[in-house]
Amino acid sequence: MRIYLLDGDRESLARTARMLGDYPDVELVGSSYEPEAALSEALGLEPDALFVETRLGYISGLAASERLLRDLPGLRIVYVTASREYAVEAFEQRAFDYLLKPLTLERLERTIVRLRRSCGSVIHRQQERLDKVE
Amino acid sequence: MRAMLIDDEKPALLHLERLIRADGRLEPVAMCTSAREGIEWLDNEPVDAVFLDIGMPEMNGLEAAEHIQQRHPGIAIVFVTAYSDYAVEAFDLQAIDYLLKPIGPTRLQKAIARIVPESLAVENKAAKAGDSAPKELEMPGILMFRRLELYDSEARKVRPVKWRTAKSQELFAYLLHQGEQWVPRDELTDLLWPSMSGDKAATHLHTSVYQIRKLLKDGKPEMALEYRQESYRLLRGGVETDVERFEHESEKLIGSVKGNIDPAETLLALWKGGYLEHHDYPWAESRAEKLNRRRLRLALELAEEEKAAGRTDEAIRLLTALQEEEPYAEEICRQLMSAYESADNKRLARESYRTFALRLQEELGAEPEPLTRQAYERLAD
Repeated sequence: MRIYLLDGDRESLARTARMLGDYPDVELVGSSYEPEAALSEALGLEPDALFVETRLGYISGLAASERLLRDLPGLRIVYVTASREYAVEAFEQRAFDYLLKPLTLERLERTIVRLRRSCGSVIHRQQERLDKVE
Repeated sequence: MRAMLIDDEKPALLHLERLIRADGRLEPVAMCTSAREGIEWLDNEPVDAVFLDIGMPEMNGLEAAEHIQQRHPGIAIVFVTAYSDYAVEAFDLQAIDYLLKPIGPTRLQKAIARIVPESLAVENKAAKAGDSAPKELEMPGILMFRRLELYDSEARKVRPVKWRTAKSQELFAYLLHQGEQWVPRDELTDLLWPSMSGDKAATHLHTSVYQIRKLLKDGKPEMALEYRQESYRLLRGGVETDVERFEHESEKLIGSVKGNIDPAETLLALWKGGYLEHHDYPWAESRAEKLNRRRLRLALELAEEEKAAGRTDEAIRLLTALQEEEPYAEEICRQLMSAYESADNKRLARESYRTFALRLQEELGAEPEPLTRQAYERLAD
């Protein structure tokens, strides 16, 4: 599955990226620590999921993902954050998951398993379409 | 889909139940005041969703969710709580939603939409609409109000029938009148040809039966006129008469027109006149009277509801039309006075009473009932 990563904290961005890199079926299609750049890039890449911090400085992670959702309604939002305070709002937004930092392998694993299930059928359909074209 | 509600506070439980019922997509099947009670219930009867309070004595909602998910991994869990502090844990537990008390209908509807697949929701709604609305109005295939007629639903109009004899028509009407019951041949000959000898009457009956069968073959092929052991019966094959529909539907509507104004209007529109009134069949009289009374009750109730809903003009129109057919009905007169009064027109209210009283005096030599007179006297004050 294709994941885009947005986190204002470079260290934490690198750490999450590394952890995601351990999964052979995860393709990190892009990452950024700058929200504006990330939004326009992600829009073009149409990832299956956006992993995003809730605190991005001048914009909240929720507002940022809300903007992406307008154009990519099927996008799964996974918050990876140091703050608990947006969790209720995340439910309202129907976020896919909400992970607290420091991120543990065990907790990430559960998210990935659910993502596989959620994206699985879609990826399978895309593959079929590609096969047909060829 | 079925839902369980768990909350140690009864009022909160009731409030949530009401909201869920009002939404209509989920059916609350179990209301539990402790997590323990809910978990035990689930072992016997599975549900699709659990609405779970968090702050409860003994076992709290988070623990309960863990239990439920281990034993029944397919159940959707929605937390319902006054505290925002546990939303992260709710994500850990893969809850489908997290609602903050007090819950409003809009936010709850969003939560339910996550549980109930859209396709199912549409089905449920359609099924519900089917319950409350009258069956969408195909006209009945046979009309018996005012006069006997066959209705062609494809052409959407009355199909003219050439009856060779009036007796064939009456036979057909009488067999319809009897529903799908077996009617002895002698009963039919006595009714239709009372002064004829047995043999002669039987021949006439045969001829009439033959005519009806021919007519059905062309016009209502789903119906059949059967003969067995000296008896006849008319099978409908699903064809309904307007009178039967009226009887059936009015049974449900009388006493509950409130909230059902449209169905009541639609049903009353079937009424084109008294039951077989045009034909003057003596055997139809008692049913005709019953239908008259029922129609009057339904129309009066409708007028009452129209008035209560502030549509006094509509109520007055209904009552005036009704009074033309039932000029001596006291209750119509009383309701008409009250409708005029609601319309702030006491003058017309008093006048409608005087006209009514005069009519009774001149045509029947009678006076209005005390109840009607008292209503008038209250107006005069």
